[in-house]
Amino acid sequence: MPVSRLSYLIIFAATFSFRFLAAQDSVSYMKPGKVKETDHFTVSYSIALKSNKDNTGIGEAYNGGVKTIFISGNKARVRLVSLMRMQSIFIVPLFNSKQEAVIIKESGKDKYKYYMDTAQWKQYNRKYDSAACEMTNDSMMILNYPCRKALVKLQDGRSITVFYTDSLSNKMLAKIEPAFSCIPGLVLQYEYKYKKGAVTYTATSINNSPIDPGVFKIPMKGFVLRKFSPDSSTKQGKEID
Amino acid sequence: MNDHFDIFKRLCQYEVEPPPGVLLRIVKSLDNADMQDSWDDISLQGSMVQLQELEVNAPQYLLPFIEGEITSSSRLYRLKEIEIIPPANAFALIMEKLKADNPKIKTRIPVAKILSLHPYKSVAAAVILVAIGWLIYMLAGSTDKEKKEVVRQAVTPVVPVKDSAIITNIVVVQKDKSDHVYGKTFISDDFFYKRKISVDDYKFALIDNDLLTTFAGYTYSAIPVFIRTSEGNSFRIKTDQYSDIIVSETMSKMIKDMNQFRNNKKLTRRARRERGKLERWKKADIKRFDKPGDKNPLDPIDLAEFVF
Repeated sequence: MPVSRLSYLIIFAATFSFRFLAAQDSVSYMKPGKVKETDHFTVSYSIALKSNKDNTGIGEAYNGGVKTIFISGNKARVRLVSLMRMQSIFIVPLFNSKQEAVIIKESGKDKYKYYMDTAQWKQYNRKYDSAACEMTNDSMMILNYPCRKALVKLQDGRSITVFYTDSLSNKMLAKIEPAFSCIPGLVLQYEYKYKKGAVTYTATSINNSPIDPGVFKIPMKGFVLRKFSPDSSTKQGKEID
Repeated sequence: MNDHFDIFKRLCQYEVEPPPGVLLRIVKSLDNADMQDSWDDISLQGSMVQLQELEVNAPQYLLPFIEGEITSSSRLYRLKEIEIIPPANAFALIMEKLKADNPKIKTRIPVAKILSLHPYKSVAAAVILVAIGWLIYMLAGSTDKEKKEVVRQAVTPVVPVKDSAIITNIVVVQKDKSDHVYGKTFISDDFFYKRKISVDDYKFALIDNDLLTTFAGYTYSAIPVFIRTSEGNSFRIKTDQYSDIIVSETMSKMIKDMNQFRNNKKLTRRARRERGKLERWKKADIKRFDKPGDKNPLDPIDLAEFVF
């Protein structure tokens, strides 16, 4: 074999091997064998509503919306952005026992917020108190993460189907998403079926980059402060600032 | 074979120059013979006829040499120099002669008939052409005007919005200059409260930070291009770096219907109906989710049980 051809062959083989190894490296990075605890991450989910009907009526105003979870250290925020409304839940560091979560409605004329202490936050999510996770052997790849299927079963018989990866985890996930507190990892897709429809949340991006502290800053001006009162209905409070 | 060439060569030695003018007279006589019915020189006529009758074809082997002799002969070549320029009125005389012989012959070449229009039709065509040109100019001009308007708005500085200040008018937001880098990615501060959303390249602000209120609140002159030109297809709204909302075809059509205006710039019946339906949806949504501590729109169960 001529030397020139041999050299071309060696270069080609070296290039191919390098690319193959690089791909292997990236895959191993994307799919670590053990749980990766990250200080910062942002997960965005797209919301899709499916129905037997041509359209879901008012559901179309939520269809195509985005739900984003921000976690940085001991701070967390989950935010819904849809045509109908924008709303956030903040998990704030426990400066005192009176404040654990803040709910803020960001859209519309009547923007408001209300604080919840630990007990109130627990009460707010009471339907998940006794939720049980049933693991299955089904699996699916989402965003290059191998995900396992599980069923989150509520005491009243309702259940949510989830696909989660055990490659990523954070202690704040259980607080910001009480529905998945029994899931050992990060949920990348979940679906709840009701009557003839289903709402599906599918992760569209995961980002481990540091998050601007402003994301976790609770807005003050222009929001009416309301009081958490699950039994009584709306109670108007004074506007802050 | 070579003997023939010797004979020709020897004959050349006995060459006698003819009297001057003989050749010219011969050519003239031949020309006159072609042009006139009767020849003047009958004797010459007879000689030429006799010569033609005695014509003998040259042997094949001599043809190449003859041709070579013709091309290389300086005398024949000199004939080119004896070019005779015809009289200036020769063509006119020929045409008169032809016309006299046969009056049916058209001595004037007719000009092709390209376009023949009645004067009124010509004027009408010119008016139509001018009208079409004006229309094209106006259309092109309006497009440029819109572009200029967008550019003008784009460079208009916008008052920075802090926290949740409500914007009640539609403005095109300038590119944020306060972006800075955090770690690996490009993250802007107070990105949720800039109120800048975009559809394709069209950027605009929100009314009450509410997308549906914004889409349902346009006046006749403020309808964005993406709604005006929408065909009910799904489109994407970019609200911030984390949230790209996909508007379904159903909602896209509803948004378009909500912004249909009559010629008098009033909403159509369908638009009023769609806006009314949207108001009912908003009231239902508020009733469902705005009770503190009751239902959570971020929860899949609460959301699904509301919309289905």
